[in-house]
Order: sequence, then structure tokens, then C-alpha cells
Amino acid sequence: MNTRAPAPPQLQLLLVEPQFVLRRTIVAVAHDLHIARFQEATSVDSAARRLAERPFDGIVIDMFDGIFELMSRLREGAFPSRPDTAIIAMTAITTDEQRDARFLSLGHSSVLRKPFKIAELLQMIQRMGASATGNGCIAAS
Amino acid sequence: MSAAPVPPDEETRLQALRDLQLLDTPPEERFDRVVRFAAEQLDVPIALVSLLDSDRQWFKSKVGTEVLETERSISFCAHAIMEHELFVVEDARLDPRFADNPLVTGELGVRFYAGAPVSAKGGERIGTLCVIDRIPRKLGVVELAVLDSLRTLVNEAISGDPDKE
Repeated sequence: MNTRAPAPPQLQLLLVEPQFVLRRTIVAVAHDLHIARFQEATSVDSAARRLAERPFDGIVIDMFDGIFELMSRLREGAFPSRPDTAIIAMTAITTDEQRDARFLSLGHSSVLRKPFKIAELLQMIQRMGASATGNGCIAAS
Repeated sequence: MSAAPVPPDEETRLQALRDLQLLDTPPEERFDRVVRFAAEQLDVPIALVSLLDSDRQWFKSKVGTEVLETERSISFCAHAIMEHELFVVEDARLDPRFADNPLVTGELGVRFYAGAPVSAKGGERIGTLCVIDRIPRKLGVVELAVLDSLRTLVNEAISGDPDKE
């Protein structure tokens, strides 16, 4: 009898990041370390298309123009993902407290300042996974 | 100091390198952006894309040093290309292969080295993406994965694959 527990399903996440090296590295490292599988987008438009296609366990997104409106639509239930899907927003080092506060007001969201270490993002993703209860993918801890 | 052995496919390897026409060419952003990112992610002062020629290593891309090339006989990268896996020297002063290497004992003061061999399309290991520090270091799992991932981007740049941007 096989008593080995099945490997937990990986988080299925959306990454919206226009910078090539950062995006590719996040995707590869998260995959190689069995932390998450990413769908990628590089713009608000491509992110919207990805969101419309399928549900995600979480979203990691560069905070560029138009993204707040897209995330608001997510919170309003416009996409297959749960409205309370966790979001990690990556922002440039120049702080904009008003923008950050506006984003955090969406709920279930956190902000990560660039430049950051990939390990830090992965830790946030793992915390995201520990609390994800929706989309039939990850059980609550 | 141990000089690096010569790979068994050295002639093929050198031909593959020369066919790429990368040696002695100007800096290119497709390599430089990877090197900058490596230095930033791994918190190292020096990061390089090094190409191993017959008697020298030449740096196609570099951060943290103005050195353009060194003799192959003292090159850490020459050891790194002997295998596909990442080559890590946590403290060169404690490693008999490198303890009296001029790159360690001299002005550059190399203590830590981690190199990811990079390849031509045919698989010939033509050089490395490497990071260097002047203090002993030990890379964590994520850092090793980052270096390995960046190696893939360098391989794609070498092969001229269009950016999948």
C-alpha cells in the first residue's frame, strides 16, 4: 500500500510584470522550487485577458497605471477568480502612500517594494497559499 | 593552485564559441541586464558573463570590475565549465585549488565564487554567468535557483532566441 501523501497542488498564480528578467526569474524559481505555477502577463490588457480565461489562487502584479481599476473589477466578481483573491502588488522604490493606501483598501492585498529579493516574494506567496481557501486548489491551513 | 583541466571537447567547444562571434564585441543590454540582476539579487559586488577562449577568459558583460579579461590558467570559470551544474567556492582561501590564485591573493581579493556554465546551442559549455564576492558566502536554495534561472536567460541570449517579452 502506498502510504506516501500526495504532493500538495501548486498555487496557480497570475504574474503581471513588464520587466523581462524579473518576470522570467520569478516564474522559473517559483516553478523549480515547487512553490507556484504562474501565468504571465505584461500589461493591463493582457492581464485582463488572463483573468477572464480561468481562476487564479493569487495575483502578483506590478502597480502600473490601470491596474487598480482591473483589481477593482476582480473584487466586484468580474472574473472567474474569487473576489477575495489575494493580491501582491510590486511597486517601485519611490513611495506613493496615497496610491499604496488606495490599493490596500481593496483588501486581501499587500505591497512589496522594488527592488526586492526573490526569496521575499516567495515567502509572501507561501503565506498567500497558506490562507487560500478558494478556487478548489489549496486547502486552508 | 590547480589549473583547470581542459574539457574533452575543447576543440569543438572553442569552435562553437568562435562561431558565435561574441568575443571582443561591445557590451549588449541582453547580457548586461542579466548580470545587473544577478548582482542585485545575490548581493554581490561583481557579476560577469565570462567566455573561455583558448588561453584567456574574456568578459562579455560585467558589473563591479573594469577588468576585461584574465589568463585562463587562473580562471575559476575554467573549472566551472567542466560540469553542467553550478560551481560554487564558498571560501577560496580555504580551497587548495584556489588559495594561492592571484585572483584571490591579489587586488581583486576573490573569496566567494559561484558560476553557472552557459552553453552554445549545441551544448558546448563556452563560459559562465558568475558572481563573485570578497567575503566568504554560502548561497541559499532560492539564490541558487535564481542563478540557475538567470543562466537560462544568458543561454537564450547566446543562441539569439528572440526575447519572449
